[in-house]
Amino acid sequence: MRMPLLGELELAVMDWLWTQGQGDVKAVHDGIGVARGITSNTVQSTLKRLHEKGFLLREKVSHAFEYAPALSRAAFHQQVLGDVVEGLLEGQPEAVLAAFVDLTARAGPEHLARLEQMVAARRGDQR
Amino acid sequence: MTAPNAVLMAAALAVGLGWLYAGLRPRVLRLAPARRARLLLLLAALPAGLGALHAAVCLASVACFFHRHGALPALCELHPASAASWILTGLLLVALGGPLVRTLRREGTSRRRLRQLSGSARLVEGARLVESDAPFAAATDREILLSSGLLRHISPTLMPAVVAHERAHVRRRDPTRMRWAMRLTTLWLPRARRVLLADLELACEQACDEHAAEVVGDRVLVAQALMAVERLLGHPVALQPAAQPFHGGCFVARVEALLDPPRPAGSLWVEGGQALSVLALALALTDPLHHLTEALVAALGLV
Repeated sequence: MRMPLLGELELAVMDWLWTQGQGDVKAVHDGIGVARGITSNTVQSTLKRLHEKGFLLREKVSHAFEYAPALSRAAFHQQVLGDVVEGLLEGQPEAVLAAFVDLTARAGPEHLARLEQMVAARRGDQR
Repeated sequence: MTAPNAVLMAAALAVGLGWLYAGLRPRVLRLAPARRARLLLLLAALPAGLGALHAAVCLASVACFFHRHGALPALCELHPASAASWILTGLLLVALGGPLVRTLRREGTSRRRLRQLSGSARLVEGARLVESDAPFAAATDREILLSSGLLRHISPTLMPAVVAHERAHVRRRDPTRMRWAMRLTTLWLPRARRVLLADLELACEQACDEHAAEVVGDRVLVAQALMAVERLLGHPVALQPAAQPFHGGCFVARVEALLDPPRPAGSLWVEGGQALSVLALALALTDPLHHLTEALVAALGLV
């Protein structure tokens, strides 16, 4: 199942929480909301939406919810990267990114062995 | 006021160019990569570009160009076209519109996913660090993405080649180039389109390989970097897409090209001569094409 797409503010909130570990509405607003000129209500609704999407865990501490990431940055990246590669397999080769080596097709071992021999020969010639 | 003749003209040109390219391809593949990429993008854009130019010229004329000159009034965009040309254009647009919309939608989703990846990745020495075990290195329109898995598994001596290659993609705006080529070749026949896009992709990759070889000063090192990443991608730890076909055509061609001596860049005289030859060929074909178009227009009852 593919990861739901996040908006720019949702991503910024996740980034802040991945760095800080956890925080309530006030802390997240102080961390990223003030600089962006958004209200704490906007931050609160963003946190709620992320919780509903399954990206955040929350726990009531005193009168406020304390939010923490439900998945690590690495798990998020692994999943999104997998989705990107699946998108490439569906027919978007090189239209959105240029990978160092084609992510959707592998050279067989016989090709690799032959090329290794050619590389060794070139290195031998250079010595 | 729409431009049915412009669409039909672009479609006919796309078919003709696809046929022409099949014959010229061996010569094109011998060109230096950067020049080849430029030529292929030009070929991809030519039918749609000339169609748009035709429509623009007709619509911008105060007096109808084609009627005023008493030739081929069927090509006039200012006056209502015949029902047959509208039907033909409609069928063409329906046939092409669906795939184009699907392509644009998939492209939009992929770009949003990439933005998620780069937006949540930390910036380390000018590159976005994707925290993944997969050996991943890629360039988007604006930046390069490197995975922590790649940094862990690949030898530090090979990394400069990878980074130089990806930086060249960003500098050349290759993803944008490919995106436009994909959009503009919608009018091409499927097989000719696949061949052209694959050749363009190879040309872009080889141009960046050449750039990386210049930066690190060692062509074989770039070949070794390619092979190291290819080997890592073949491991089960890699990205695990549903099915990875084993052909490696682009990869093998790139490594082989790097192990060969670099191709001479050629002179402006040679390039100009080639351009003039293509122009002369196009001019030589103008008259037969003109008569063929007239015959087709008459046969379809468009006049």
